[in-house]
Amino acid sequence: MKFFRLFVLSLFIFSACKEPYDPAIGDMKSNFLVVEGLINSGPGTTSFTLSRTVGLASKINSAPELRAKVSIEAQNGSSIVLTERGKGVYSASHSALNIQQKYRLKILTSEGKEYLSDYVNVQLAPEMDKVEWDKVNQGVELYVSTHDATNNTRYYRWEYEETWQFNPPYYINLEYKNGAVIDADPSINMYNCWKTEKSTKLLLGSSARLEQDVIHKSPLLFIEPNSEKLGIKYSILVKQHALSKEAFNYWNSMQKISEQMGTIYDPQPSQIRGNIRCVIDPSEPVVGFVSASSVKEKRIFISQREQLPEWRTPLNRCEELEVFLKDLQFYFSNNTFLPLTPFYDPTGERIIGYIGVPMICGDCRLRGTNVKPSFWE
Amino acid sequence: MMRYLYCLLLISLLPWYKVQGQVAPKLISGSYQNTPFNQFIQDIEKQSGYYFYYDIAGTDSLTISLQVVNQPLQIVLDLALKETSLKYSMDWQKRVFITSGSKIQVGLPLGFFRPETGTGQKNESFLAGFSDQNEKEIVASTLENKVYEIGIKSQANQPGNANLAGYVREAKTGEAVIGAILYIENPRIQTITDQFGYFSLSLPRGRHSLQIKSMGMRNAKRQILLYSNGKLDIELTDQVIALKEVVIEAEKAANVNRTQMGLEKVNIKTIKQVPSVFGEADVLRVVLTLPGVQSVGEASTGFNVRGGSADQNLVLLNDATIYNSSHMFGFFSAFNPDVVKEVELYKSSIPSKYGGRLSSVLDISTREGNKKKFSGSGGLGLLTSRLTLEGPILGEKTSFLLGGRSTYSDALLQMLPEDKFKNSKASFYDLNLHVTHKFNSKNDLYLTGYSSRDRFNLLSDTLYSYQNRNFSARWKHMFNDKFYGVFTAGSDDYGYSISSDKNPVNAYLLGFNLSQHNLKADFNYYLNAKHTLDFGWSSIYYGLKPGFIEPRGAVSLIKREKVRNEQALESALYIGDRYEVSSRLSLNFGLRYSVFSYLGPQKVYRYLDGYPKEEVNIRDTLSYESGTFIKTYHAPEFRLAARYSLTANTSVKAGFNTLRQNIHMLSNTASSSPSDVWKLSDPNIAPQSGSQVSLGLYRNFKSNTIETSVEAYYKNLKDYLDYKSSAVLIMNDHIETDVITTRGKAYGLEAMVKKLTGKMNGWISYTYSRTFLRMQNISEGELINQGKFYPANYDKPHDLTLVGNYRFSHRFSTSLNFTYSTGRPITVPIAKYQMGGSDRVFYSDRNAFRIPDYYRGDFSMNIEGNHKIKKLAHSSWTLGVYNITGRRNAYSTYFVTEKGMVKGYKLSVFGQPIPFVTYNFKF
Repeated sequence: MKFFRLFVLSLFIFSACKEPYDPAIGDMKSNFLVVEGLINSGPGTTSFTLSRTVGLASKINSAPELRAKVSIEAQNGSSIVLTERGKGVYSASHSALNIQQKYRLKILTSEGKEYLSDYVNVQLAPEMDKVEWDKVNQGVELYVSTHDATNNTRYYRWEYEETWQFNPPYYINLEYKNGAVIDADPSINMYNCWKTEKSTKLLLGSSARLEQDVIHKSPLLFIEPNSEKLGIKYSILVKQHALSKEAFNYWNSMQKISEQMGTIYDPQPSQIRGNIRCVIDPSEPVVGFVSASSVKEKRIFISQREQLPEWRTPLNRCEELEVFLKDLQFYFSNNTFLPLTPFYDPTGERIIGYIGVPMICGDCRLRGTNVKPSFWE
Repeated sequence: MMRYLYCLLLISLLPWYKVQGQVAPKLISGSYQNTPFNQFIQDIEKQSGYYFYYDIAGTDSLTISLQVVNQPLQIVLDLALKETSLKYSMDWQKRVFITSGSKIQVGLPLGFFRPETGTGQKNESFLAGFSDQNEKEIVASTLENKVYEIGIKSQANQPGNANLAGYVREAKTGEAVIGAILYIENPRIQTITDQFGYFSLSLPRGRHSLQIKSMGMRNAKRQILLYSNGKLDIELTDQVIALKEVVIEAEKAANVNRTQMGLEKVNIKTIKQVPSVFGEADVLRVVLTLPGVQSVGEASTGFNVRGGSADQNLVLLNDATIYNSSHMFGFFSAFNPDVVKEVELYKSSIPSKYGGRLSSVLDISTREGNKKKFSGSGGLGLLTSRLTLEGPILGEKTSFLLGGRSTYSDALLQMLPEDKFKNSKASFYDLNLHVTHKFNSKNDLYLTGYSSRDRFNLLSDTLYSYQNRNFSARWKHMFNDKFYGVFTAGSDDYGYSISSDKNPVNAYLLGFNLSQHNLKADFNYYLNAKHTLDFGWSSIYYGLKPGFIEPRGAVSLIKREKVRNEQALESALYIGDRYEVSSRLSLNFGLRYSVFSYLGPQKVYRYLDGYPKEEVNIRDTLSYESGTFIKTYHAPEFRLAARYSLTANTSVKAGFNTLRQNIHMLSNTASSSPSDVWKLSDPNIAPQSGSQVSLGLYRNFKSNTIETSVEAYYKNLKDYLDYKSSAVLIMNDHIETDVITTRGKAYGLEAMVKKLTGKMNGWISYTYSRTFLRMQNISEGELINQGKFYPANYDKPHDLTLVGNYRFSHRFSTSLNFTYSTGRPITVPIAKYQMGGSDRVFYSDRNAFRIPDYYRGDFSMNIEGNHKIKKLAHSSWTLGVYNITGRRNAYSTYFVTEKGMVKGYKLSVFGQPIPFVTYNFKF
């Protein structure tokens, strides 16, 4: 029977396989403007990030667009100037926008080209009802639920920021200083850290096909079984904003061609047109879609001890190294290893060296911050 | 056989011979009009009390027309047989012996009992009235060298040709043989049997040797003596049954001689030899090995013919249109190999009786049920099993064929250890029923039913299912020997549904349904030796439910929605003439006039002139009442083909075709998927139209055992639909805003060498083909590739296929199949950027790059059980390996964002050798 199973296994879909693939298309020059951001109806901060597309084989992810002049213009002529914050980020804090007005984004690049988005209506996002989670297949699935009693919103987009507390595999109370290993400064916390990550997927929801404007448990992310994220305490901040139908279609298409490929019935990939145009050359591709919306936030916590007592985080195996006294400098001075504990000669009286562990196994600051976030409960 | 019988009878009665007094004969009355001879005899047997001995086979083409009132038997027989070569004699036991040519001596010659007279043998021959020389002929006589006298002898000297018509059938099952060629050598006159096995030939009166050839059948010959119009039915023997020496000659010279070009025919025996992925003989996969036929990939439903898209193929199963011809992601085709008899693919000269699609007609005919005995066949494979039953119902006039297939892979998927497949399903079934009934020699009825259903979900919570349901009834009526008509009524239905219950609030069922009802009348008229006309009319009423969505379960908030139903009527009149200008030149003319009307009730959007068809540019909405003709498109279509024979085994052919298509499949996936919708032409979406010119050279070698051909074509497509980026095709009531119309051009060259006889047989085909599309109308939105020509998804310039079979013995044969093709075009990213926390890719020109080239080899073996005729069941095993080299052919390449990074992947569907085994049986 086992053989038969294996045979069948080898037969069907399982013979399908995916392999990494590099089309070896030479590095084509491309330098198109990429605009990411949202006009926040406020009061709050509106932030846009401008960058340029880079060749596929390029080592860098994107090239920030610097020294541009960015502003938000209302149809009635008023405008808000965004200030350059470096790395292509332009932002401004402002009071609430007039939701009767239509707004657009205006960009004047350093090379003198002007780009304008279409005027867009301000969408009002309702509050989220719930951010919740379920145990699914040994892991944890997080969802968002929301509704709009006036049935006006219909299209939603979410972004999130996860933050979790974690400990490295070793608690280190020694430190190498001036050629010797001494007791570490107890005020420096290397054991208790927090790590924050932002969402990397496009999260969209639509209730357009429903009788009521209700989003029920739309999946946000799945936390793999035994993930460190839920080892101590975990928190997620979900931001919700509303989209117009056109914006939803744009992001939905981007989601399909960048995140959902690899099925038997893939869509034909192609570049999707956003609502931003170069004024002198409207055919120039510009990536991005400008929307204006209010932004609602919701945060929840998951505590391992209270809510997931069965959750186990396996200890990462770390290399343990015997470092003799003469080698202390070599191993401990350049922040590659940390002294864990001394070891002694056969008499058990004299320290002849220290067990060293890789720094990443003892200093959580390499992967996160030891500053407790202000929102942490 | 009969002759032996009565010769023996004669011998047996010899010693008992004595003279009896003549009794007063009974008188006979009757009126006979074209009465078959045997019926006539039965009638006079009843009236006269005499018993008749005659050769049934020798008189089966004879009819009697006679009117007699109270006549003695002798007079009646004199009158009846006057115009034939038959002679009769009667004896004292009230027996009548009817013989051909010479009369039987029923009395003994004087002196018979004298002792010195020779042996009984000699007497027998003397008695039978034949010379010794003739006796040998009787012994050796088969149907082949018997002279059939056809018609009325007294009309033999009339001027002009006489017509010979009849059916060609398979001897064992009584099934019609389609596409058999009948010809006489001098002068060269030939015809081909139609889908009912019917033929009609106009020949000079006199003696001919009629040759009959058909693929998979033994070649046959009939000696005929044609006096006047008459009938001759011919039974052919299946090649495989004969265990003595078999000479396989498949449709000798047909490719050179027929006017039709771009026609590929494959019978089921060939199909069964070609290895297929799960060991199940697959009609569509074999079609894919033919020149000019390609597919997007291994798991794609549908196929592309000469640069046409998948929806431009009309797939007919006994005249029923099959909208989805694949099962299980295209791994299986929708046709049960035990039911299929033959496949014809028209890719260039499409006969005028077909219409409605631009690229090709794939005509699949099923077998007829065995008319003589009940039998069955079936097979057990790893993923599917099948069973077919057939036999006569109430005598030989009616027969049925019932075939079914099903998978058990659902169960297999459940057995898999990995959790993620636990909820996966993939299953299908199909059922075929075919009933034929012969009312009399002039009327036949054919009923076909087909039903199939597929269900699958793989690694997702969404369940897909689709089904075909088809029914057709055909009545064939012979007006006379030269003229017949086929009247068809049918109904075809295709639909799919997609449902998901995962999120109870969003649980939905989304559906699509297309049904068509058609009526048509096709007539065939054999005007004379030079002209064969076919003409007819057809009407199709389309009813489309383009999309509906409904909630599932009590808590679902899904809003019931429905895209307005669409309906249309498509009618066409056609006429075609097969004109044999001379023995060298023959022409096919065809004209088809099609009228398509989009019907109300409907709401139609009108768009601002000169602006892109987008929602913001909707000017107004027009409402139409039920039954209104909202928009009518009509145009003539021309079908011309010519053949010129350079020598007996070489010919050149040319063809010109125009076609129109009013129903479009909308698919913005690279390969067509089971959730693609069909759309009727409407005021905003014009019908597609296309034209094709083709030229070909055909030559056979080694007494027609090797066929070679080269065909070149150029095609133009107009108003072919392509899709805007991010097109929404499901549940969209203004699809015109998401599609663009393109112009297309396709050209190519196909070469083929085929050897279908001998121990080693098979074919090699090479195709060079290009297909380009171009979007020119800026008013439809942003131009794809700046309005330049871009290759279509299925543009694969080079394609080489080798199908080779080697028969070691009657019980063991092997087959090797090799395919190479250029990788299909894909759109690859040229740049990347950051958005939404991830790297994402920027796509540029459509289809500017290609996936790696494709090649694959397959191997299979057929092992038959012993060939004892008396056996409960005959069985065979098919085993083999698909993709023997295990090459990981790319089905697609794609780029995804994973953990914020762009990664390129190559997906292969069958990335390793796949062994298969199937057990087939027949009883």
